[in-house]
Amino acid sequence: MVADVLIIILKGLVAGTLVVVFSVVAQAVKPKTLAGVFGAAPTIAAASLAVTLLSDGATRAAAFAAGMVAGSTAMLGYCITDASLLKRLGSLEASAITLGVWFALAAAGYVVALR
Amino acid sequence: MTRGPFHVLPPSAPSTTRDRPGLDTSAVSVKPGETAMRFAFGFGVSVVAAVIGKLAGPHVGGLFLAFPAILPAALTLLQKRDGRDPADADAWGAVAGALGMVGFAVAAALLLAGHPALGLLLGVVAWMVVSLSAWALLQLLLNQRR
Repeated sequence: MVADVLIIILKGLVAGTLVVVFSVVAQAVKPKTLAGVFGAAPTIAAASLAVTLLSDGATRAAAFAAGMVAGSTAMLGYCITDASLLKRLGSLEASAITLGVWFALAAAGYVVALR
Repeated sequence: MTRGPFHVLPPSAPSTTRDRPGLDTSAVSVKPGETAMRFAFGFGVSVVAAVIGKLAGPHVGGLFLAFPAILPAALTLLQKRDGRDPADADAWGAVAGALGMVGFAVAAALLLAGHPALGLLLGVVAWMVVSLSAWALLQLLLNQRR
């Protein structure tokens, strides 16, 4: 139990650090459309999968990655919708609305491919 | 101007696409509050995905490894600091990044079980190749609109 909590905290620390590093890279990169590529980098996933590989083994990490295929497809739908709405609505409003798109697509992907 | 299937692409973005890809370190601004917020988002999403993975299984936990938590915060900060046009261009770049994220996930899902270290490495390579190719294609489409 304690080991599980420590591993979860380790995942969080590694993921948080990677997110900060990539956000600095994204600020330095030009033009802005290229910076956006780094904004949707799989930083959290790479960190979590690396720690899962070490703590739980390759089979469980592969199962997480299979779930991520559905999640990332939903993320693609989220990004397209968000980019289409942002100019008209602004970032906060567009993001709030399109969050529903991510949940709908992720749930559909889970039911169709993973359940 | 030709209206093709990509007519929704931002009219503001082409002006920024004339810049060649590169690094501008003078644009980096590391504010403690923003950095702490980004770290907290990364930490939080990773912990939530791990806890859900423990409770509901790795497939459901894996969904949340691609949860869009960082991007909305980054775009909102960018819009607040630089205005709506740079945030708009950044959002279109994120579409290319998300395509790369799908590439990362597919490569990792296929390879991790048999070749753990190589699978993770090739996942990162897949992200770079797919996202940069998609970004180059996006630039081409934006330039054609001009």
